[in-house]
Amino acid sequence: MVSFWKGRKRGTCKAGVNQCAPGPGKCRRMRLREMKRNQRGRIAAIKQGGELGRRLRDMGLVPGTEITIQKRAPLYDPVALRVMGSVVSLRNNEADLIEVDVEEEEAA
Amino acid sequence: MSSTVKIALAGNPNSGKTTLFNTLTGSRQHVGNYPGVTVEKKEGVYHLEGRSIHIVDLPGTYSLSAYSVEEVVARDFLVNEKPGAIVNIVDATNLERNLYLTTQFFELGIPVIIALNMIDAAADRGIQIKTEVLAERLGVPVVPIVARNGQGVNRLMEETVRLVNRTGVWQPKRISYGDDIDHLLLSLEERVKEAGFLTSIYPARWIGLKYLENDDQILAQGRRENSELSADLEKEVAGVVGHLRDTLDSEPEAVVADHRYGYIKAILSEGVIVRKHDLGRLYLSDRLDIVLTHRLAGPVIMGFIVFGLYHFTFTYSEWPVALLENFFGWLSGFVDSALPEGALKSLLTAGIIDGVGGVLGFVPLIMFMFFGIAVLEDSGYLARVAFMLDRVFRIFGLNGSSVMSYIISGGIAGGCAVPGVMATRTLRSPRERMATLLTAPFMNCGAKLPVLALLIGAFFSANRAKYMFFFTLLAWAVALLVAKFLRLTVLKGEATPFVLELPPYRVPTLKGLLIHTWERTWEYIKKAGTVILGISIVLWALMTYPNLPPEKERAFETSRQQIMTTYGSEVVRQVEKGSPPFAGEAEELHEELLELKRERTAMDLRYSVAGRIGTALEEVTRIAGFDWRTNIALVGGIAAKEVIVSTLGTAYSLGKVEAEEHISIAETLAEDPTWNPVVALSVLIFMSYYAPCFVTVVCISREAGSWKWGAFSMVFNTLFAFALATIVYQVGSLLYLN
Repeated sequence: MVSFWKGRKRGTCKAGVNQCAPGPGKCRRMRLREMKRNQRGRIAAIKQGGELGRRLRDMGLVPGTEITIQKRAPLYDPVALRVMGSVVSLRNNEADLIEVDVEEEEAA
Repeated sequence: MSSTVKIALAGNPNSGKTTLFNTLTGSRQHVGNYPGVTVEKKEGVYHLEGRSIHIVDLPGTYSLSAYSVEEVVARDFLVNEKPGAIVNIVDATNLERNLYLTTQFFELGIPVIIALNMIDAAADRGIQIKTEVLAERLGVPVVPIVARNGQGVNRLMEETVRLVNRTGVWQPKRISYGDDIDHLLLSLEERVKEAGFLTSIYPARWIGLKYLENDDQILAQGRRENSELSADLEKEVAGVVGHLRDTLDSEPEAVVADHRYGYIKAILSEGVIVRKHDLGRLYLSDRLDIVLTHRLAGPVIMGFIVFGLYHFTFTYSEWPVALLENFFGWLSGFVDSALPEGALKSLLTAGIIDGVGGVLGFVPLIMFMFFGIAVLEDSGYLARVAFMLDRVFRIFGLNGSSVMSYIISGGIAGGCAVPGVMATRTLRSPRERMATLLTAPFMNCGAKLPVLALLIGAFFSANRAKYMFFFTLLAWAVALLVAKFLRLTVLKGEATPFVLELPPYRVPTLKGLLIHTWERTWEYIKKAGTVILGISIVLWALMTYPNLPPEKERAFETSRQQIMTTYGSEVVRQVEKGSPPFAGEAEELHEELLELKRERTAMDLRYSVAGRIGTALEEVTRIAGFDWRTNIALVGGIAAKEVIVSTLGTAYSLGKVEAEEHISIAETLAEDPTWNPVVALSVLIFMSYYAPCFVTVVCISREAGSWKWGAFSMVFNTLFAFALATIVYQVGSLLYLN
């Protein structure tokens, strides 16, 4: 389950919205819930308004922000992300609302 | 130039705001509440060269919208009281996120000074911040500080005073939100200004922005002020909102947030932050987390830490508790010997000293408990506990932070619901918090243990440990299921988002811990103490009055004389003048008189209001198997559960029974024909879950912000417990009798 993806290099995912085009390529869009530990990506979209949307934005979770999955709780939920200079925990159903552009592993 | 300066301290949670406040004001703090809400309001004074700087510590918030109570409180304070300046404390290791709140202060137009905190931690992480560049770009003073050791704090205050005294009109900053929104804001601003719409309180552009963000509080205020203009503004906003949805597929709030972060990014873009390491580097805190929240090791370590807290609290508070008990025992004895027999003495000893002693008896416990929690909270571990357990507690409509409160309340048998209820303050979601504080009293607190020990010892002595364990597990099951029930009924509503920050681990400062502990303890003594004194007097009166009618008194006196005449006058004199132990016939007489006195006390109790209530309730409680004696004890237990065993003793004419020495009462109950294991089980079930003791009810009311909830917990819990006890008794009797 643990990914050994290093992810230290600059990839093709660039800052901004809707950068990740569908189809084959190095960059793939996925939901935050599907991300693995230590995987890094850039937030593409947050499909949520209301209180939750606002709380996410308050924590710096806006399109263009780079995040890293730090760990998951013992029961796999919630998930802790590194955002800007802090670590933020989200429930999986909240993580579902966030789409992330992730660099694909090279020759997995 | 005024000699007093009033400033507000504001910033994100975990940015070190409280630490800075403690460093600035030390023990010169005043803790109160903001009107109408349970958010703490802390004020203090800092002295700078003969000047007093009055500091108000605003609640920690991430933003200034109107969603949470904390945010409303902070915003209201800023606009209504217009402090001379906002000292905005900002975590240097997390500049980008922290400045999000700063941008919102800028838009309010109150002078801001940035206290750039934890520059030492930032340096450790290889982050260097060019404060001059940052100050220049933000257009406000920036002072690097280390709140923990006071480094830079004096300069911060000097700069703050300078800022407050600076002449000139302050202009709210105008942040650009893109063409569409900027255009709209300009138009709104013009109309607001023209009409003088709320402009005495808020900046005009800010009002426009809040209309755009659909801010409930401002909208309501606007409609009251000028409903026509408000409707016009709303209409104008609606047009642009529709346009934004069509073109950007985005809500205005999201667009606004994006631009705020964009503004911050632009400011931090080049030359402000110099990083030595890559962003992805693991710091000490992250490495600690690998172990402390590890899938397997994490929960085990958590178990040890929680047990440690528990052990610490209840072991080390033992001797100060005993000391206080001894003191009140001594005081009671002193009053007993100094005053003549009568109502005054009874009021002083049974009413006031026992009542106040009962409240103060909790004080060491609360101090130790809060010290322990403060350590866990300030170090950052409590957030990890919430993180690890959230998945389990969510099932029951709670969240991970509920667990602490449950454990303290007696989740490991022997806690206390008073600090447990107070500990729910660490929960930030209102409904989850209410559900937790209403169910925490179901746990087996220390005062319920003697009752459990007594009845289990009397009726299930062969399986003592098993039954104790069963009642502990049952308490958890009941608390969680009732929480679920409440969340589906009176506290209905979606789960509050659980977006929780896991702050880096930090070593707590002793000063912070002590201030934290003392504040909570003092608050408990002050608020609970006064109310409890009144209530214990009322309960004392209920259990004392009315006195026995004269003819019954006379009957007892006659019996007394009769007993005495059967012994010789020498023996009587021996007993009357001397004190136990006696020998031979004197001992017999002494025993007989004592027996009579006990009967008399039982009769008194039965004749009192409480006794009558107990007797009257027998009609109803019969279906759960309780007779009038049990009823009286349970009524008394509302004052404090400790009273149950001793009242039971009085009702069974056993004289004063100490909670620890219940051998005789256990024997009495075991042999009493009205008692059997089914009755015992039913009483135990009822006792565990009925109305919390008065101290807890007072705390629930305080924490929930209304007496309504205190009353709810008494009525609901009692009905619930009675239903449960009835089922146990009825089903049990059927099975037991066959």
